[in-house]
Amino acid sequence: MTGRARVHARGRRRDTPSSEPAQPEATRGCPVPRVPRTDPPLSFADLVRRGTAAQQPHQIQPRLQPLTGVRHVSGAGPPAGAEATSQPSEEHQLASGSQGSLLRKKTDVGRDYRDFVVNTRQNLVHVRESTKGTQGSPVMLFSNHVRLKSCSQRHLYKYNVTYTPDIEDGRKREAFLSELEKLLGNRCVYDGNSLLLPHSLGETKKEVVSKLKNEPVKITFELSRELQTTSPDCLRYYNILFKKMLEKMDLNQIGRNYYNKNKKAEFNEHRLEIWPGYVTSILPCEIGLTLCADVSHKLLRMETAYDLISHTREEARGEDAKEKILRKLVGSSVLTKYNNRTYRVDDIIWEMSPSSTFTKSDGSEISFVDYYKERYGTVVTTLNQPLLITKGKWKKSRQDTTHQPIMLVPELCHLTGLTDDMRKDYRMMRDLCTHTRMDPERRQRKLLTFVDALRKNNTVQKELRDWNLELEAGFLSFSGRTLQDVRIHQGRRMVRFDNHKADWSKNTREVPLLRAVSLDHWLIVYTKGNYGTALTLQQNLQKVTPKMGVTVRNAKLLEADDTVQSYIRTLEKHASQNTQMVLFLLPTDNKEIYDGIKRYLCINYPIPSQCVLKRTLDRPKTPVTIATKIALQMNCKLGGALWKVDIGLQNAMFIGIDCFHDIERRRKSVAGFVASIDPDLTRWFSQCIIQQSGQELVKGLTTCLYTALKLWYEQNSSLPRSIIVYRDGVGDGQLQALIDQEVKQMESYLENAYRGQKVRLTFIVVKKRINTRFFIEKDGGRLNNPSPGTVIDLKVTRTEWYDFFIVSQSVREGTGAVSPTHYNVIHDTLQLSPDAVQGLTYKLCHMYYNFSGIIRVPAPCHYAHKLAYLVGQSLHQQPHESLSKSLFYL
Amino acid sequence: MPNRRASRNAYYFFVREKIPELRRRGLPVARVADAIPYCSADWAKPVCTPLRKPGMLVPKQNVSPPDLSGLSLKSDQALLGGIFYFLNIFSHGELPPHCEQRFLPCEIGCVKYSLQEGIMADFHSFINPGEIPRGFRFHCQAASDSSHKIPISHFESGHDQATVLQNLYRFIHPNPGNWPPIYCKSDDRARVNWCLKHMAQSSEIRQDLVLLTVEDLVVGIYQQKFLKEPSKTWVRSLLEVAMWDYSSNTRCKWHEENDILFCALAVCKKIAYCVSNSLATLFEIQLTEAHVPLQDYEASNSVTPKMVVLDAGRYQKLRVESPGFSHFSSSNQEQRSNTPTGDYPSGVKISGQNSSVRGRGITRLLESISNSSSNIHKFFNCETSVSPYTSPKHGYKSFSSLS
Repeated sequence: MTGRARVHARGRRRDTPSSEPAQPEATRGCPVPRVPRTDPPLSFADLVRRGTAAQQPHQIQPRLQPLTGVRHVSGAGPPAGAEATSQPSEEHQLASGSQGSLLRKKTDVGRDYRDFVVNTRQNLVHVRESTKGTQGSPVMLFSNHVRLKSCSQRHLYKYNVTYTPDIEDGRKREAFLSELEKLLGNRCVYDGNSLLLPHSLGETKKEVVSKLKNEPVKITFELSRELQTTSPDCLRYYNILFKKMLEKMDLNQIGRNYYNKNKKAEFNEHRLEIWPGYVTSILPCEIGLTLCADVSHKLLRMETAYDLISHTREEARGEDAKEKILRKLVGSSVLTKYNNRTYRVDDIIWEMSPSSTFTKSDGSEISFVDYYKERYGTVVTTLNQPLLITKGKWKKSRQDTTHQPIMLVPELCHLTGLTDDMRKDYRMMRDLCTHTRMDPERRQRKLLTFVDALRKNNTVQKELRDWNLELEAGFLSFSGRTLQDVRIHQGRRMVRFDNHKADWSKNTREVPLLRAVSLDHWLIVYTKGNYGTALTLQQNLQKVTPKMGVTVRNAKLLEADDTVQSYIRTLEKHASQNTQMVLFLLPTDNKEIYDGIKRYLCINYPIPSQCVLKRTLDRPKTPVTIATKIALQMNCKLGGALWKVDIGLQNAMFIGIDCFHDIERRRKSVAGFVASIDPDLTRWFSQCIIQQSGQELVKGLTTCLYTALKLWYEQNSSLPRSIIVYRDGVGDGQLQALIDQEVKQMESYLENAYRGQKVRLTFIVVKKRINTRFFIEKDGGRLNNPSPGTVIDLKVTRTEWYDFFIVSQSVREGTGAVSPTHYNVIHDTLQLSPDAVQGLTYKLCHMYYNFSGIIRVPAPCHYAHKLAYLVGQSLHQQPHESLSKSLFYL
Repeated sequence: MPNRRASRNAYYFFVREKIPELRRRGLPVARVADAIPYCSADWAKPVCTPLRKPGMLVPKQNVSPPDLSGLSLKSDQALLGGIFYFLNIFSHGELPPHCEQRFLPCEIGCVKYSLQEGIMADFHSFINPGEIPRGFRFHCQAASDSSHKIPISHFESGHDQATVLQNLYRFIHPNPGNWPPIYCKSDDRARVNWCLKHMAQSSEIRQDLVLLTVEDLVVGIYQQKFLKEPSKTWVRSLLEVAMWDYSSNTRCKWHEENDILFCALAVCKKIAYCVSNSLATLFEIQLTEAHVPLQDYEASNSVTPKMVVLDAGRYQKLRVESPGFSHFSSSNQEQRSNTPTGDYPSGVKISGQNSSVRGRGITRLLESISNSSSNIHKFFNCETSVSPYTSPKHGYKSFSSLS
């Protein structure tokens, strides 16, 4: 069994984090309770991607030329897979993906490998001078970036390294290089395939023979290019450099973040421990390189897989003990402390035990007990335990070939993540929350200590000095702007609300809706024993709706069993042509039943539906509030409108696009497309496109656009003068592909549709998962979250983009740090000024009808997300056409 | 999130396919890159190598056009009486290509069907999937959980594979003689075929069933009847219907009791419903309970999905006159209008066509609706006209003028 050794070489987990909570995977990496209304921490890959894939500070100036006479060397593919290299390679694939080709094979011929940068700003003439706005009141902000100064203008040299005969094992590859210290010096960064040196080797091609254990190998160094210290190509090496330095500070890499297991906090009562850690990455910003750092936590159960096995065995004491153990353990993820890796348990081998032997990669037989002792110095105490088996993670290209599975000893496997039972334990969750949720002050103080420790650490200092880098003290601070409050118009009134809370639900409760739809024919379906609840709900709805201007007649109350079949049978009997709405009072949140109902009512018999959990209604305190919310939501689904804001842009259509992926189950990906079809943004057309599993870029936008424009024309008897698209879910590495595919698709279609008239199209990429945070200094020097509407468009933005950050949502006091949303205008023939686009975007964050408050992303984005999510999770099929003009997916 | 799947070229797949052979020859090829030098020569050769080996991912072309001569679809009558079997076998997921065992059969469903009679008999059984290959427990469990939810082990109802196969044979063909062709959906064909072969191996009964695709069957019947070929997309959309998902007496007992949608028997029955619903009307067959689950709809004569065109007055009149059927078929029309390219085979001649133009308002309305749905309305309207329920007086003429 060579699995163990193999996994060291290349068993890294490399799947990109999906934005969807549907993936069980998402809960695995960082199962720490989340801060409400902030997204889970950004993965390292995102950062790296952000960091390198699209950075080129000096694009406009001519690029650094290679040495004269240097042949343009090709063939440095992504790193071969040594531990140190796996992350850049992720970013590499992305970078290369953005060029429309993939360079995964190491021996890719005829292509110079370098980080590709999309400069979208150069085409936007109106912002060539400046991408900064002026509106709003200035505020002083702090960020979590630390400037990384480069002190010299000396060049760095990048060499491609090849081995003859070829060596696969990344550790071995590195070991061979370390034998050559005389030649290379002690300052070099090796990513598995290429080498960055602060000095030249003299020749453009150098061949050396290195010996390891009397095994001679010829190593060829070929100069690939000369780099400036600030060049984006260097970022990858800097990230590797930082990884090394962090390891010297007792921080171990798990997944993509770094954790310190010596400083763990133990919760003996809950049998849990939390490792403190950091997310770090080097980012190229407008002001140069910065180190972006954020706090992260790793949650581990003290229980090992062996504990679980023996515990279950004792409990069961019978034939089906194995079955029970399998059910509990298979599919869960475990962490092995000896190498800080996580694995998913795929199976259990009962016939084997730690004293069984396997064949190592060099051909010798060894027992698991001896192997662990020899390799890690870990002692396996119990010999009477089965082995766990995991298939390991393989590159996509290698997934379908035979691999030796990896065997794990249960005793050494710590369970990670929270079980459902644990999640329900209120006390435990509270304890965890108090530990992991950090308010801005605590968070920043912790990061400051971390940066200080970095700065004071001698080895780190020396290493940085060697590369002519210097970490500045203190976090980057600059001035942002808080935009003016947005006015909400509901009915004939303008509603004022406390902007700091970013919620106007209390202020609008008494005000008639903008467009109320009366509910005359509707059904309430309830299950046995819930007649009372259903009746109360109806009464409450009738109590709250008159103030909104909605008339709610009595519903038909119908009883059904809690099965899809029964619900549908009931509908078939009682729903008629006039039925406007069906409300289901569900006793449990069974996904199967929800899916069945939604499928039926969105595909077969298009009637808007509203599912309400009985549990929600049973809360004693808030029946009126809940009834209000349900009434509002139903009104939206029926085509009503709640409020509007003054967008300030005449005759503009807003479009939101988002994708839903379910890679785990290999289901088709769904792209949601949502377009406003009236100038007030109260009516939305929606369509979804079902695509191949995992495909992010959308094909077939033309048909969507066609229908949207047609509907707009029917409604307004003219075509919109401009079109503004908010696109969510695209990584930086895909920007180029996005421009080539989606933007081009839309542009060429619009040109046709408008018959040569100038089409004004603005395309904005929205990014939620970022690690950048902003803080504001409040009275007494305490750091706090910036208030909603804070815009940041300098220093931490990119030179080659027309981008900005907005903090739009509000976070309750003491719950954590608010995360800003990043916007990148990649195409803009409408020529919006920075002020205009920032103001517009912020206003759109007020237009999401399912929440009377400001949300993180512009409303079209969130509508598109909701649509894609419903279709991807429940429907798996196009919803019925006749629903396309209502917000049925809310 | 980014799509990291490489777009590979044909050469890559060619090389990958060669790898096992190279390994057998003892060459040290771990991956595609290693194998490239050994394959270049073969690649350069003119294509004489059979790229499409059985069991590869190319299930379709080799059965098209369908051989309907065996069915003797010479006349309508023969076609109506012809008996088809729809078969499906579920598996606990699909294992990667390098595994010897690709599927773990766990449930089988089969129905005997004719256009005239509808579903004549059905067969259903759970299958004991056998030992799960080492290391694939999670994979299989996850696959089962996301679809049919049949337990992967310790499931009492599972019969051993030999018995199941024997029972299936008995069901399909009680008397010795010619084996009738068996149909399944094209997407499932590879799996069903593999499972049948696998089960035959373990049971040592050899009877090579001919497995054809339902899509081809529908195309064939169409061709036979109208001498025109319908588009594949149209056929596919006709079969992808969710409306009977939860109809009674469609799923097997276990799946119905547990309220699980995915059931092998239900798949077969739903094929029968779809075929009945779309084809039987063209043959002027009165739909019975054996054709579609009518009993569910009898009580409701008022469920009429909303649709722009349905608001036209005469349509409603028509509906009132023929409650059960028209509701039913109009929902079917809904179904089809979902598909963007639900093109009705062009030029098909159906009785009742007339070229006189009336009711231009409706015509314009129809034109304003997207192309696809108007096509379907045309089609649908013609369907109703031939059905025995409606009198031909009602205004389908104006619709047919569009065709």
